[in-house]
Amino acid sequence: MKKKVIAMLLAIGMATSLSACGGSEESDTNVNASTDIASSDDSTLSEEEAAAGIDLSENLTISLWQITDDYHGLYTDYAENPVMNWMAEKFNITLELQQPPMGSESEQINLMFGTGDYTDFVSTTYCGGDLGMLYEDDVIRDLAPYLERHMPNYYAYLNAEENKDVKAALYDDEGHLFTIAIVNCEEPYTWGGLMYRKDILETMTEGNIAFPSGEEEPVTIEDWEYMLDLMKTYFEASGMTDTACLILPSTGYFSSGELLAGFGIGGTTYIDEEGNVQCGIASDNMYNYLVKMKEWYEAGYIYQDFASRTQDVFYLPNTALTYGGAAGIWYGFASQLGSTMSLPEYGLNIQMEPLSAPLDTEHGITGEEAGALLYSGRASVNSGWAATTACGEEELIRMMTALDTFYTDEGRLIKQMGLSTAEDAAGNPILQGLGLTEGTRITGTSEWTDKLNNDSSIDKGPLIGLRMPGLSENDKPRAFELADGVDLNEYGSQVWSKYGTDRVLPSGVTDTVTETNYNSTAFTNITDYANSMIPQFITGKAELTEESFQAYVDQMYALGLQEYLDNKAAAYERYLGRMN
Amino acid sequence: MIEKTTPSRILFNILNYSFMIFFSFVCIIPLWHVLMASISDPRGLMAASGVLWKPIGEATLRGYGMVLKNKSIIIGYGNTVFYVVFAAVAGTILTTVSGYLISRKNFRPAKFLTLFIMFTMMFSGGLIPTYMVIKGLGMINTRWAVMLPGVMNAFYIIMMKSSFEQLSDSYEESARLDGAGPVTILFRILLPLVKAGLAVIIMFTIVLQWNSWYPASIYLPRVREYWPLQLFMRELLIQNDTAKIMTGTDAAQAADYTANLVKYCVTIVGTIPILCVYPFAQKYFVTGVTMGGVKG
Repeated sequence: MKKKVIAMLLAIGMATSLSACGGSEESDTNVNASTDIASSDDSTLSEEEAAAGIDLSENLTISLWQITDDYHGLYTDYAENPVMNWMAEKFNITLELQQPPMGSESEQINLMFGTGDYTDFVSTTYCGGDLGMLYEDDVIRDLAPYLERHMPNYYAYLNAEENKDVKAALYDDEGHLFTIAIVNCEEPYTWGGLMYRKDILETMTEGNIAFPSGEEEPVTIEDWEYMLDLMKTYFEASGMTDTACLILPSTGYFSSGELLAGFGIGGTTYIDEEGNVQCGIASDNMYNYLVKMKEWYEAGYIYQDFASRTQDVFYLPNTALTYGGAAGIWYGFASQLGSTMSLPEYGLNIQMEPLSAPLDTEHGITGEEAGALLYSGRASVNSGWAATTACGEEELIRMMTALDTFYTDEGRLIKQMGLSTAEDAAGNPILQGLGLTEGTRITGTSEWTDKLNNDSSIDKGPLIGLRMPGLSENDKPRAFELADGVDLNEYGSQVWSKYGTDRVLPSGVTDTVTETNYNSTAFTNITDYANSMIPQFITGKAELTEESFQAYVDQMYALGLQEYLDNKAAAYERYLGRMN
Repeated sequence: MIEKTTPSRILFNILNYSFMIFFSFVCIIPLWHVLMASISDPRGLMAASGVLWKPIGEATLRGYGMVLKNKSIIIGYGNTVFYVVFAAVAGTILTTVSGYLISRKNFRPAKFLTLFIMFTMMFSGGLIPTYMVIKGLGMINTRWAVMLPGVMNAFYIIMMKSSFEQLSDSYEESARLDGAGPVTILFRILLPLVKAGLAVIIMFTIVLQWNSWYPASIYLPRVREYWPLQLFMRELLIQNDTAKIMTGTDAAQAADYTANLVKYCVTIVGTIPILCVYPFAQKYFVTGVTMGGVKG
């Protein structure tokens, strides 16, 4: 009997052994004591208190979900970023960062939303397209009622006449504002685009490049064919076994519109010359694009295995080719322009130049029809921070007050270029450790300090407030980043947006919940079908005739393309209405 | 019994050995490729394709230097060793006790518990309910969230149950006659007889725990100092892929050819310890796998 009792106790012990036997090492700070969610017209701070400035004597702990970047070993917690640290100290905030491992962002944020275990603030980068759905699900708060009182600078900026586009991008149709956004004060640079190896053309022509159009840079399809032919001859003579004159994404087209723009169409969705929302890959001119790509593929100009490289994200093509000197034209980054990819010790002297879309003059395409390409706009609801319903009233007001600093001229400089002596840069341990005792920025100016300006071993990314809400401008290059005095980011952007950005569907065009529910499924079906057919047309696995192309287009409409475009058109109309 | 060597036997041996040698190559070649790539010249590696039989260019340990300079790797190693030791010790004890209990014929709830355990092998609550249970138990952002939920494996419990059931009842009876209690019977009489199965379980537990990163990514978002090695490695690999599209990346970094090299070095760093331990447990695997196949 005794032994049976012992055996029973052992069994009970086994069954309960998975219970927690250690206390929680951290108190649950996700849910603040105050869960009293203010109604849209209720804010506890009186006019007098707001005018006098809020009480900062009490330290508040505010949690933030923020994606992880490469901090180059300087720190692991974004709260240690010098600008974040300065803001937290100034406004007596203790920041608790929740940063998912890289690559797990979507999963982590979905888990957070699914379990209701919200942080006070959340970076909206991975929140999905429609924040309205999160608002309706009582996950995030509407910040509009708080803006004028607690973020007067942000409020004034949004309501300025010249910033109507920003306001239209951030407010929804019902006047809700969900994001304390990162706002570009000027047209942002395009960070990447098509580029080509000019050194190959120089080598093959002994410095006498002669494009058929007579221009100094390739402009037309014929110019590209001249260039591609030279590259093909170059690679054949080099003896390299795996080469690519032109690298296409595995889908056969750039969804952001590169190359397609030369045929007068955009990527998946764009605005045509009459202001209508169109789908580039289902338009008539797409046939001309496919015919030309098929011709180039058969001529050996296009990387023969492009369709199998499904693991390449379109802006990260086969690095063995691009870095190995075995590719001629690819989608690259502004940082690859010029001679930065050269390695003279290996005999590799590469000169990369940006490329605009080749104009299909045979079919009457001029620069006016081209112009749809990747362009994020000056602001987006998916670039900034949102407050969740777990955030208490005090914490919300404190953080809004703190972040409003970065919507002033001085605050913009601090966010964009880091701390100066005025912000006690010498007192920051990270800047101290790098020898940046005078900070990263010269006080009162938009100039880098001498040390940062000339020391290429220091990466400025972790030292400034890139990921923080506020005003920002295009990145100011440091002295060593200029190529013969030229800012390559600016130069590349000028070429890539040569034909303008008017055709791009603005990022402020947002769908209603109903539209989102339809569009997300339809868009997936449409693009899955197109992405399977386009490579087949180009490689010749599927016959390309006007009839087969029409059948392809008809199938896309059968998958719901018309309703998708109608929804997008309605969203665009609403956006235009918000602009006015 | 002396077996006569017939022509068919010789032919079988030739084919068998050939297949096994071929299969061994198929297993070893990828590892060899990764090892050679990890000590290759980074620039040459970026342009390489196909299997590497020797390092490209001048052999270099530069990649290992970059990986091991990363403090996170050292922290991750320490955490992983801790989690592996805990899982091996605690998991083995709990699995053994559980398997023993449900293998006893005179234990009334044995059948119910066996079905209960097997049910968990087939069905799971999913990520969100599991997260809510872990959170409700107060384990989020603590080491227990990584250590406890996976400490016992239903399959291994069933394996131990089968191992104990194969033993003759006379062992337990004679031990009981000598006055041994259940704990003594289990740990001093029966456990030594199931060493092979135990070694298999311990080894699989170690490998599973060594490679584990997912629970830490879910349950330890705020405490990077508790992350295991594999999670840091994963982050390092993704960082090297995405570093070129980060805003603020200096132009000078565009000529960094070490991205691929770091990936290979990280793979070796994370695999070598397990490769070193495996050969010592090999004899137990053979015994464990053939356990029950030879009678007499």
